[in-house]
Amino acid sequence: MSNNDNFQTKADNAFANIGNVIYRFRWLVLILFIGLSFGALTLSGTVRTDNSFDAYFQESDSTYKNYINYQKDFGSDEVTYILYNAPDKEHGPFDMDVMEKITKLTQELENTVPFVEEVTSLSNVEFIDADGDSMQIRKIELDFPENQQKLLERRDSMLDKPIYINSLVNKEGSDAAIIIEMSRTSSDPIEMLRVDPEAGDVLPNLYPQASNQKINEILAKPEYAGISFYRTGDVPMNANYNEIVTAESETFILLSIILVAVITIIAFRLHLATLFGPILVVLLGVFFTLAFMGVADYSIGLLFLIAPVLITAIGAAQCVHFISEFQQQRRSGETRQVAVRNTLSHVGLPSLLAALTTAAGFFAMSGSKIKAVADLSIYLGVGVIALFFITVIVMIVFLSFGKNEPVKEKALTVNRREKLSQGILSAVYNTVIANPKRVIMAFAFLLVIAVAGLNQLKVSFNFITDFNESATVRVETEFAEDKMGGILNVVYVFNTEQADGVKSLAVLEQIEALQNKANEFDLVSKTYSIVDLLKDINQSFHGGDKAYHTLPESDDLVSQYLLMYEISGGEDLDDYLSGDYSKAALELRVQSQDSYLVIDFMEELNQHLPSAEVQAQTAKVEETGVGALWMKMADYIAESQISGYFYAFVMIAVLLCLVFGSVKVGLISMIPNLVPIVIVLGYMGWAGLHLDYFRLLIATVAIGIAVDDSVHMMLRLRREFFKTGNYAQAIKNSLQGVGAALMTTSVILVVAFSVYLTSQMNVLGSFGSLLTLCIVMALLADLFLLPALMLVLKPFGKEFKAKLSF
Amino acid sequence: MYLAVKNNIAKPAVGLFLALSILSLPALANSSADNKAKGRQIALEADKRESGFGNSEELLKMTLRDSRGNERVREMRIRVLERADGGDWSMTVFDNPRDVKGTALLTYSNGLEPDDQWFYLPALKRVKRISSKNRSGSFMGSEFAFEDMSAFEEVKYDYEFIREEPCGEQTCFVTQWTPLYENSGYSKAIVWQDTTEYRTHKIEYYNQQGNFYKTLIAKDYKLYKERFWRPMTLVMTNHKTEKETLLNYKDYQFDLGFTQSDFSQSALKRFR
Repeated sequence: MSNNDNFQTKADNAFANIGNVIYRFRWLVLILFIGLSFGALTLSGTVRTDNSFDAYFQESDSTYKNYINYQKDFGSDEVTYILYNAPDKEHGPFDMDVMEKITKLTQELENTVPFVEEVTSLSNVEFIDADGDSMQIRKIELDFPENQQKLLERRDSMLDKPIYINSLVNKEGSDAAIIIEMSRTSSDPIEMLRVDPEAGDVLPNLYPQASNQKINEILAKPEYAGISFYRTGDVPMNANYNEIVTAESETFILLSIILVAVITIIAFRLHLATLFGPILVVLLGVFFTLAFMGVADYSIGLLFLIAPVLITAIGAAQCVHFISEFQQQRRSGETRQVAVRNTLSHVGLPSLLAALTTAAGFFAMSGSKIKAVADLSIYLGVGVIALFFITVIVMIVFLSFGKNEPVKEKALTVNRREKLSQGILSAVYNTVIANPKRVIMAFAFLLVIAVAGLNQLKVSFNFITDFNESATVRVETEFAEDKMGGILNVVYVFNTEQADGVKSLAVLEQIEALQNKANEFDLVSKTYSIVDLLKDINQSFHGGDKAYHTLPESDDLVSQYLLMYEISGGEDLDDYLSGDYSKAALELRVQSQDSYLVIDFMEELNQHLPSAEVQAQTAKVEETGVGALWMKMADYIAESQISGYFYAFVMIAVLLCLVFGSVKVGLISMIPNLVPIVIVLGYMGWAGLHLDYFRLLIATVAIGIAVDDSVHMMLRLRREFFKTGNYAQAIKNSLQGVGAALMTTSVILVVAFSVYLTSQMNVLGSFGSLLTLCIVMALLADLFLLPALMLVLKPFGKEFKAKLSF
Repeated sequence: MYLAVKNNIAKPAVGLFLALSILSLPALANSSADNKAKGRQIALEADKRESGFGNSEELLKMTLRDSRGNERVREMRIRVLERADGGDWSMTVFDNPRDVKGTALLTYSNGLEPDDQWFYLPALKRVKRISSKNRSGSFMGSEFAFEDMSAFEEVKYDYEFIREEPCGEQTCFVTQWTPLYENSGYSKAIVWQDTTEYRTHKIEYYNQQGNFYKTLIAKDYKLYKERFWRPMTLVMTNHKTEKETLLNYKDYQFDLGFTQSDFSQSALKRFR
């Protein structure tokens, strides 16, 4: 017997002893465990929800720091954008009645919506108006036109000014917008996000849900009837994300539990332990994970949505091995006490290994620069290890209750389902034995096709199409983008590093040049900068003459115009300039296309940035805004995918090599886990499915879960080979021993992951179906490829004639 | 809500009446109506004590500080002509930063109506009339609003005395002022004025949503002509944006013999 056999035997004996102890003190263990569970339940309530961009980036990330600095200089960039039209009115937004309503609505939004910084609409936007020797900054709400004709004259003046087009009104004047700038970002400390400081952290009391809810309430009022509103921007998007995450987290837990219950009832005969054991295991698994998140200050983000189902699937799969082994023990005539002991003895080590390999798969992503992914990998890894201990305690305690004597003969008979699975496994055995090389060739063929598909795999994401086609926020966003242009912010900050530095014409000309270039791209629907305002003032100062829609002619005039603008009551400089005028922002509004299109555009535009020499003499240009975050996130996704998969593979392979005491056996057992992942990623490449922040998890999640079944299969193959000395016999015995459990766990995983298909988020549904495909491929690889590799590679050595032991 | 630039006019008769009335204030302040009357009397008395200075010139340094501590500084000279028949006239010329040197502003204050203003740009050597109805808008990009700087008019507010309390080494009346004019950015302001000289020491502003919005601190008072108290330092803090504006006044001069002709459009071009 090798050292490795010693290790396995010692581990089996240790688990057998644990089984004995739990059986003897089952009541005490139960009471202690209930106490612990209540503690976990309490702590699980302390976790907060955060789906803003801040949830995706580490605080130390330089791109993210630039973004935070940008927000500090130019204010929170979170907005609600409300597009509106009045289809029944001849003059649309410029109808007197509509304008009066919008004036009232603007004031109501500003005065009653929580966390509003400023509301801008046609009724209160600054309009620099020239009339002979006078110039004034006018607002419709302060100087409401006396009649329809006067309002139409104002409309014509507004449509004549580029500064308003595609931001507050489209060029036809048929659709207009209200822009609500918020004073908060979703990443502010929780105490700053509560509407009522005493009302706790329920979603309706927190930003942005509270703001979104109030906006919806106001827009639904009868006094605004006749105007159609379409809401988009950060507040509705984030609020919808948060509400969906919270609602679906609960629904998913419930659905998963029902499915687990149904499957265990079908798979095993109805029994207290088989029904309530797995349910309790998965519920406690979720609560312990949440408790850890609460203690370690991890927040619930969009990615958390996968957690309850993953924990349910992994927990239920572990339970299946316990129940399956226990039933086999009882069938062989053991008393309950012996069956419990033997179950833990046989299943304990493979289950612990399975938990460790699954956790390793998650931990491999903990180095990801995407904060949400790194966080998820830690709390899920910890959750999976906790789940192992929960499974051992709950299942062994549950299986310990009941009569101790052997079961009656009737209960030992094989049912129809078991006959069916034995038939399938016989067919599998016959196929593999008949021509193992052909089986290997078939998988190799699939692999070659998949590798070709890998080359076409692209990193990209789109936060709008993440929502289902019917989701209100997506429908309204797409409508708003179609009418008025993009809602995605790409920002270039020109930093002169000296107070008043941006008042220099040299700097302004740099901004103008980049802005003009940006306007040439179809993807860009609107650009804003201080240059627009200065051109508008210059034109107004010269009696509205369009020939003067240019930058002022001297530095002094720039300064004097800005001073005049401020003295006249102009208040928009904050949007363009930092407080000390050392920085100016050029803001591009870009259509929310797939991120790779936005990134391509930004890379092309970056070719037109001033040279390093010019920047050193004028202003340093820094990219920021959501566009820069997208660019960085795409880099991180690609990086996480490569490094995460590498680390997962290495960690799991090392673990398996150690357990099997052989590098060869360890690496062979990795093959059935590698193959399905390459096939799925290859399929994504062929199908044009992009690698996004969700799908990047597929490889490591799948390898972690798929390897569980491989571990069970490989340990059984090894045990059976050393028992029989014959690979074919070992395969036959192993398929009979764990084949049914592998199929059951795979069915549970597939059914559990299909819960993702019910999500309102496309991104999650797609993640679920790809993961399902991965699990099916992994099962096929475990049943066909692994035995075929055994026969061809003979990893345990030459066959021998078995001696009868004991 | 006035304070920073004193350019209103007092009505002597009303002032006398008020001076007599205030002597009996504690006995009156029992009911809501009494508190309103007392609040109004305090405001009018304070206004009366500021009036009658004739004309003045002072230097002002305005420091605009953002939430990160970055600063912009402007320096200007302000001439004020007190007028008996309505709002005061003022002329402001900027000395710093260098690129706005010589830029000048002439303002005719019109009480409840928008002010008349003319702006002179030395870079173009042109005067342009500018106007705005935006009372709640920012004054020169600072944390002061136009309404903070406009002339005091009794009818612009509803007043209510709240309490008396210590403020530093003195005792202050605490009064609530509620704007009655349209388009104010405030729902109310709480004003602290000392009980001896009626100098304003602090104002807390609440926005239209009723949230605590800004605080004004007035300090370093100096007495001129043995009658007029002027704060040398005003600090307005915006609690929403965490921005701050500091106004530092110095070199107040009175009785400089200014006449209306010194406050004309042609004088605007000459003012250096």
